[in-house]
Amino acid sequence: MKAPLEWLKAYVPITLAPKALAEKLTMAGLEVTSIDHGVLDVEITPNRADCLSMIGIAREIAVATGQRIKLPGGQGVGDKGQGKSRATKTGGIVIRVEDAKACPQYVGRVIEGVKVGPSPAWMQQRLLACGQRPINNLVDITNYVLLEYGQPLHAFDLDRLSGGTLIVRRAKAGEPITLLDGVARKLTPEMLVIADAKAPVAVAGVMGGTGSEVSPSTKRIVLESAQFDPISVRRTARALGLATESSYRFERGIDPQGVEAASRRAAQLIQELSGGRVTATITVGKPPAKSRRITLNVGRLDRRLGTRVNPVEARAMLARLSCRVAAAGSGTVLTVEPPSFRRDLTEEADLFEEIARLIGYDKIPPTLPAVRMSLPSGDGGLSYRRLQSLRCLCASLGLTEAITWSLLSEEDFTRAGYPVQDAVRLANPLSQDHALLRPSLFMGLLASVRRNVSRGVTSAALFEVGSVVDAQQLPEQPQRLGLMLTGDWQQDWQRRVPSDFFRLKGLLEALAVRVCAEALLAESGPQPWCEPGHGVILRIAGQPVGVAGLVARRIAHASDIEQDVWFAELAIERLLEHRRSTTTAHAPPVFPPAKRDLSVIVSDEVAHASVEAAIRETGGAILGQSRLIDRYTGKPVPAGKHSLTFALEYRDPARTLTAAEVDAAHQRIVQALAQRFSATLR
Amino acid sequence: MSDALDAVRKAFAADLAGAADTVTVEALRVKYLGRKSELTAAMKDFGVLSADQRGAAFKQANELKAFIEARLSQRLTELAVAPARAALDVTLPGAAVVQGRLHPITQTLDAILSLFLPLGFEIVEGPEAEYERYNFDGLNIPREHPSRENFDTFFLDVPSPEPALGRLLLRSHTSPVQVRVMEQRQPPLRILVPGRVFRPDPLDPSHSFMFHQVEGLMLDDRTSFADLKGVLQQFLHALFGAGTKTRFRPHFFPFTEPSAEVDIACASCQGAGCSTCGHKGWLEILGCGMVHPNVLKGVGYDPDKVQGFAFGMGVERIAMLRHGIKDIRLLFENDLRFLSQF
Repeated sequence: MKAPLEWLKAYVPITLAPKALAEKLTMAGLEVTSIDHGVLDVEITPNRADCLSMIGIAREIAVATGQRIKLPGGQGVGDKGQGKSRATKTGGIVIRVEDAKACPQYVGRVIEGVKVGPSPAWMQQRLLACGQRPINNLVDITNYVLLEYGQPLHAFDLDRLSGGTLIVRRAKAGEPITLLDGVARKLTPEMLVIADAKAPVAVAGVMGGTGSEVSPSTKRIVLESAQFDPISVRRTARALGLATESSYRFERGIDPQGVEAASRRAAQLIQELSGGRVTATITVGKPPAKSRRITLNVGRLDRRLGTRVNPVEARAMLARLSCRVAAAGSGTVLTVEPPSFRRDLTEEADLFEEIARLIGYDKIPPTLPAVRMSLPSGDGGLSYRRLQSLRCLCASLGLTEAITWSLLSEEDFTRAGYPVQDAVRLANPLSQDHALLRPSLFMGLLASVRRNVSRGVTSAALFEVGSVVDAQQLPEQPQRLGLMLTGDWQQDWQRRVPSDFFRLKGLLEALAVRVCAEALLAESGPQPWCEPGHGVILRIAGQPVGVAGLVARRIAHASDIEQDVWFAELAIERLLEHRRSTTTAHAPPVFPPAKRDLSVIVSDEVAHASVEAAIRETGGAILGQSRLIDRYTGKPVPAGKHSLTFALEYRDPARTLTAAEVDAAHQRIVQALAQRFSATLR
Repeated sequence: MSDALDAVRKAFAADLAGAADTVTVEALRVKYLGRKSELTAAMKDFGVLSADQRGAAFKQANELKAFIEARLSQRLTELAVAPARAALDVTLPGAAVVQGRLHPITQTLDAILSLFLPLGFEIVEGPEAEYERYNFDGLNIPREHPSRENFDTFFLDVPSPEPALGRLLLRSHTSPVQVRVMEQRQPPLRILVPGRVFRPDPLDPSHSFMFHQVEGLMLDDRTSFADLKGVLQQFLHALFGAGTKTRFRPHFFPFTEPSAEVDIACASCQGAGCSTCGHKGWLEILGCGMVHPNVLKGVGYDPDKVQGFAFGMGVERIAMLRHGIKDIRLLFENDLRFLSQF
């Protein structure tokens, strides 16, 4: 909110330099974000509706600098023709409030004989400094008093009100009104309006209508000063897509005691500056007679702030804030009656903050907590630590962590081959680029690879840990680990190692070895994004934990990636279900192994895993490690076949094996492979 | 020893030192022990010596012969075991090591968390798609209240699985996890909540609709506002340097009372005002306060017996300050040329 120093000085003496004053206000909770040609820009937090005015800010300056504030008058306003009745016509007008909850107070002053013209230069300058355009003396005065008191006002042309009547009521469904912004709108019964005998003439607390607008020929006006319910105004303003100086203040809550004062002040200015005369004042409803009482326990204050506050000083500070304070007990229990304009002070904690801020947050010495040790009440941060070690593990395997958007576009889905209709959407997206929640880490990683490739970075090895959303599983949001590879895994002057399926699989196996108690097994399985024959379902102990494979050409192409991309995604919760517990260590074997290589030729239809399984099965208890060390196709291996070479180790933990035992086992394997796969020795 | 023998020994030692392969070594054998060798020639000259001298000379010559034999065969053995290698261009670059990295946000998050862990804080996480009750109502942010305006929120277009908890939304802060934890546990509590949060702010160099926060909550029967200042000041000194000036300013958050915003003196201008700090001299770094009694009551705690503080900070903002990153969007592009710096 803009506050010209020159205007503030009308209510409070300011001796500090602008910068020092700004500093003081900032440290008192009214942050001054800039000072421009003697105009402060003050950030008013939503709780401080009382500071949405010059008087409010002046009051804060007075409190912060130990000054007194001087309020403008409202003098010389006659109270002629006081009327309260809803039926009797006073001064040529009837005012009726049909919804007292939405409008607890309504003050209407009839001013006759006004002359519409420009407002004086001093007023225009103040309005301009606050960012408001001067219009004419009547409108300017209502705006001026709004800025001065924080009380929104409105002036109706009494001669344009049908039936000389103002009714505060709910709108009828579809009732039309053209507001001062020139836009015609249809109203709903949730909206509170000010109506004349025929139709709405203003939307209460939001904006007036053109039909009763003050014009150059206006002679008689009704000046409205009212209190409207914050929620009602807020809903209405939102529904109409309007945010006005008036609605902003009503939503935050105005000072109920200020309704009459502001009306008086505006009437006084109108009499002075446009030559009119108040002929009637109609008041419906009144401000609450009693204000809240809050009990403040100074002992509790000390405990909460962690410092000693002298009860006498606490009392004085509250008094500076215009609270009425009475002490009980030994002066350590205070009964506090906050002023009507401080609607934010409703309980003891609010007063704690007031006292803390008057002491000065910077004057409260910092301490370190005196805690009693306690056991962690949850898992001691274990689940986070597990995620974090997974991230570190991926980085140690050579992958770079990516953080991609949780919100995607329909195009991201289609490009990635995911159906859009299954997506969980935002009800109120900021843009269609980020409107759908991600069901997988695939899209985000693919977009990252796409961006890198388009910028000439053609090699990438990325991972991301993050949650995904599936409409069927909500509110659960499973955590996933995504991996994506493209281009070269490694490249220098000695060697170039392109990424491929087996690089990806190797990374996944290494991950599983480090994290899980059991091995990761891959079985071929199609995926929507995957090239047929190049995708696998990953299992641990028979349970699916993820998928991996080569991204289908058409999908990479749709992302302008004309090179191979591999992707894998693991369900972290499922992976961790199989996590390793503490390792039981074995001493290294004492007796040497017998090493034999086994080279067989098999048909291309025979999967490595089945050969491997047959070796393990027939090798018997003395077969230790069996490792594939070569796979070869080409001459002299016949077409349609390939050779596999395994390095086998036979061993017994308790003795050295005899050659005969090893030969027998080895022979069994050779025979089994011959029988099951028609394998021949190479 | 005669000068002739001494010269032979010296010449042999020099030749042998330069003999790097077996062929050269064999050539040396011929050169020093062959029939045309200097040694053989010298021995022929011994005939002119007296009998006494001749005996001593032959002895010396034979010793030299044996010495040469021994050194030649020793060198042959050495060459057989470890043949000499061609010299390397040791200035060639080392082989590329595939290096993985953590994202700068993760690294900053880790730096923040690790400063609180020694104080006994426990890390807890919560869902990103959250119920209205935890994101708002449980935090003393009622519906239709202007304070909700500071927390503009994305709502999910799905029926709520738990209508009593309100609609599902993307959490606008990590504070809902406070409420979840308080509902399930009893004080004393010291928790840290890292995570992604969402607000409908259009992307620009300093705003993003998705960012990360770290939330802290400490509750027991005595933790005070002065303790809040102490803990956060220690934290900021550890993160930004012991000399960093800090200030606590009154502010408003619906879920704390008293509330404060904490600034650190701008490191670029030392408080004088510059473009980094928007000419304020100070950088706003976190929000904090004493947990509001309504929040405590909401989870069934007795606000007369339980007190403590909560704080929250944006991770991207801190990462940007630490690393001199001028545009928040760089953090979400995953350009490897950017990421490989960290």
